[in-house]
Amino acid sequence: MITQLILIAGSVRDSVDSTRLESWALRSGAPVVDAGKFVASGIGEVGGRARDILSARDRNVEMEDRWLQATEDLGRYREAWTENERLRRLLVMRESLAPNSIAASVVSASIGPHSRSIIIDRGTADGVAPDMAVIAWGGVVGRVVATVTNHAKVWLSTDTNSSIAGIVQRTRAQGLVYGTQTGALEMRYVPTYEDVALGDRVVTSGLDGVFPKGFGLGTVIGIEASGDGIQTVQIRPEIDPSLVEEALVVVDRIPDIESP
Amino acid sequence: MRVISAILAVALALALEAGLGRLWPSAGRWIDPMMLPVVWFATAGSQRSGMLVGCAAGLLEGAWFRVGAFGLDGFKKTCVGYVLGGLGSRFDLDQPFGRAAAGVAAVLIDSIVNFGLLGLLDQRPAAPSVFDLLVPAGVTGGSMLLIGSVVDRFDRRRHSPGG
Repeated sequence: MITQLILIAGSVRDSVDSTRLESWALRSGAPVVDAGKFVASGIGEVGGRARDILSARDRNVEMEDRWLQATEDLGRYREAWTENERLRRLLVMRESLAPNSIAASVVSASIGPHSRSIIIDRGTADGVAPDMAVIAWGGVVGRVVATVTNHAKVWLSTDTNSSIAGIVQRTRAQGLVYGTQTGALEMRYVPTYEDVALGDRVVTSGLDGVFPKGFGLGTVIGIEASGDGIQTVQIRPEIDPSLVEEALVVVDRIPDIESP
Repeated sequence: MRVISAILAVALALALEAGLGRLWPSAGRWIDPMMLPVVWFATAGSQRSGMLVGCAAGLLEGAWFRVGAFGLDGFKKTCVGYVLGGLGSRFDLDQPFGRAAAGVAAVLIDSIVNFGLLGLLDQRPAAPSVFDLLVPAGVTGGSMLLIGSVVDRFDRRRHSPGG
């Protein structure tokens, strides 16, 4: 205590210059202070880097979220673009082929071994009635068989019990086009003397009173002659009705698109 | 309670069939969702409940997803409910493998009745292919096994002392 008081008294008396003892203490403590500073700055640097790593991780998570969001948006935009294309084609088809028609979206489809049908989102409230033709992309989808206020059931042309009056576009050979269990079509009751060749296009003849003349049914892929003067023609459908997402319901009996 | 659960099951099956048809149009070749409540109520309930559920499910299915003679599906599923309900009163079908076997049998009965009825209606029925017969039968059997195990587990948990 006395030593401390003497030192204090000495420094008060000569406050300008430091005492030898003070200088010595300063000099001897300098490396320790430097070491402390070095360690502290190292710790600070490590802390800073840790903070950087943590913030980078946060940014990474954020970027990943943004990337996922962007991917999701891209998927939605692509879907919207595809839908836009489909609707544009539908609009063109509507204007050029079936002006008096209603555009409809497919709500559900049932493609089973016993029955093939789709449900569309238009019904009696939109003027849809049984026996109206349903078409898409110039091809036949089927006919309306039942309706409720906002929905209608469509009997697909590929159903085994469906029949549509068809005609071979090149030679005008006529027959009835039926669905088969495989999803292909079959044109029956074509006389063997009629000229039908592989690759011929078969279209609706308009004789069934439901489908206007000239809508595509499919392409001939096989011909099978039976002994009774009748040949059966296998047809690959022009469109797969079960994959249709938008279609047109022909409200009025429209003028035939193909002149006789 | 049983009536409400039957109505809910049929409604759920209808929603499932509509949803499947939207996402996967050819799902009908693999499974008939409306068959599931029929098999369930015919095996877990009585012959009468199986027939009633079959009638309701078939009529709804016919109205929404089938073309041709209306009522055919209702009749077919009523027959399925009748046969499975009858079998259920003689054998213990209310257990996992019993339900799976009932699911397989239901599809086969449905196909046989369909074939016979279309023949009676002079509709020139095509004989179902092996795929159209065995695959839906297998899938329906598997689905019944799955549904049964889920419901059984739920029931056990509900009736356990802690549950």
